[in-house]
Amino acid sequence: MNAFGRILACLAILLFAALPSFALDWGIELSNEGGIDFGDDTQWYTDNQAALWLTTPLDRTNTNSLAIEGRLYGAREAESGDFTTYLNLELCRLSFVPVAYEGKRIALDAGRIRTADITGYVINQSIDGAEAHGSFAFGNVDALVGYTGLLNARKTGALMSQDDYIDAGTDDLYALGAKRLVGKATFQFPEIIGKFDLIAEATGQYDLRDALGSDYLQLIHTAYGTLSLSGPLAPRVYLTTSGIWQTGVLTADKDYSENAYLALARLDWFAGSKTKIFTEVIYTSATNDYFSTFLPITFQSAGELFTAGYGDLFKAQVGGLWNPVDIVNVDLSCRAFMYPKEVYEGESIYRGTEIFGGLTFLIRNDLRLRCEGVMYLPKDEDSRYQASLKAVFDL
Amino acid sequence: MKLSKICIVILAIAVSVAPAFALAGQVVTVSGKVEMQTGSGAWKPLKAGDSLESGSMISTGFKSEATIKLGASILTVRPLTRMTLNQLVEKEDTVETEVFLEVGNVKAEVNSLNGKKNGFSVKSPVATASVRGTVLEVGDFLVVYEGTVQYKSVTGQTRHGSAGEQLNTISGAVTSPVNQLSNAMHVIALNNTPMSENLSPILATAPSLAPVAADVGAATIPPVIETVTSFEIN
Repeated sequence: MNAFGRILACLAILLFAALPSFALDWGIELSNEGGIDFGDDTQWYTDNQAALWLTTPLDRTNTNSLAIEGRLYGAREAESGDFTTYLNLELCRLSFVPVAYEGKRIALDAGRIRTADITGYVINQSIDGAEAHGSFAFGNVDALVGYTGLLNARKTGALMSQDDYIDAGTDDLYALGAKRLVGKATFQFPEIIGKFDLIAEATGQYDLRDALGSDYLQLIHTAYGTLSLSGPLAPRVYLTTSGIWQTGVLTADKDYSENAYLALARLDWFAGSKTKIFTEVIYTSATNDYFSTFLPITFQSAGELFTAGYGDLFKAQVGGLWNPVDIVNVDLSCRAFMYPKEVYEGESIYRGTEIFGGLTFLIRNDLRLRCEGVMYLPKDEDSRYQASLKAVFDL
Repeated sequence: MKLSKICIVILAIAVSVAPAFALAGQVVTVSGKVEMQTGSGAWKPLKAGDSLESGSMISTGFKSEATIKLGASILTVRPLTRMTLNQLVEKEDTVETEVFLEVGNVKAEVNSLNGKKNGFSVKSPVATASVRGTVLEVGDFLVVYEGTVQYKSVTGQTRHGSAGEQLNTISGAVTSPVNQLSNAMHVIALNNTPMSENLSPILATAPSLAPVAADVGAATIPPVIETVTSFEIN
């Protein structure tokens, strides 16, 4: 063993000697989903995941801790029929609480962490960096700085430009993702107007491909400002309204502006102790002389079989969750998808409706089952149906 | 003359300071193993009719409960609870009661004594519930049965809970009532790995916001977008 190897071995021994081994918690989670897709052709698909995770406190009071999670993915996609396999380090998070006095508490997460904006529609993914969480008498503050370029391109979620999609289409076991620097600052003021909370958030991402000397077809830099107001309208009835303003520049053959917005209103009614009914409307700017398509950092499809994102979209949704007993959950929702404005003169803005239902069973504490059924009824195409069964087992 | 000046000053202080009388709590009912710590530090069994002075510490065992009358208010000490009666004082126009809840749950029915206002608070290591004319239960979280309760975390952050609402604290922040209603529904989480944990007090306490999705971006990559939908900067 050379000197470098000996140093590494000593460091590893020191690290594990410092960990309180009695408090080390670890596990393996196996998730297997099989489904059938009734479209133009009937096709089977599978999605299998094996996660190995561990958590350990780094002190006696468990205020500082380490959490690691890695996943092996193996999936047979319905449309292509190809079986793909890849690995990902989902989480490697060191959590510290450097400030915890009467009147203030500041926690810090660093490493590969999960993050999301307050709506979940701008960014909602893993990222390499650090996020501080502060709790004060006036409210809460979050601040994040991160980089997406070390994530596995096949699981990054950060899909904004043509280059990002090309990177994500790799066959490599591990390919580096979009080189984007991301920053976010969030301020929450509880009960600022009656019992309503106000949340203000600023999020931005800067495409580093040019700065790092990488080849590119497009460069996209964007910033988002969000305001959200939420609180009770009546006992057990809660309203959330959010507005996101996006601005940015897309550089390709020339510069294009990326001004857009997303407006959201959601009503949650807890009809009983085990029943919730909700309705939600999301409207994003239509492309015109001033606005472009809403372009979030993390791509998310707006439906299950409706795979388009939230750009150029008007979505109205109603749904419910009923938990008759603690070991069974029933959920049902109906979503209508529309264009935010007339695309072709005289044509309807309606695009299609999706009906989604699911049953979740807690068979044992270490075994959960979920059955799902989706029906998509597009305006101009044939209907599509999908049914699946998913089992999640903890070892 | 000097003595008379001193007498006048003492009289003035006595008149200006509102009189405060220490009240004693009274144990109404006891079931199971309920003990009180005496001044010497020893524990003695508590029985109905015993009186409680300020500073008394009470402990209840498994399947044990005690009901205590504090002025006109009724305090029910739930099983596996340890609490201290910090203060029970009747002032000129208020009755001040303060309970420190070290661990467990207490239910309080706060009533007015002699038509006076109530300053009733239950403190715990993570939060303080301040109430006036209310029925509530405090422990791992706050449950409001009647009236309104101000719930204050160790960081000084406050929210108000109304009848039928529950409040909790997470990392020094007080959750919105909608979070507790959602938790009480016992939604089955398919994934229980560290990745599904939410460490942001904002995402954990804000009402009705999108949850952190564990599976975003996986196997849902759409085809490359060829068209540029933006418009040109002049």
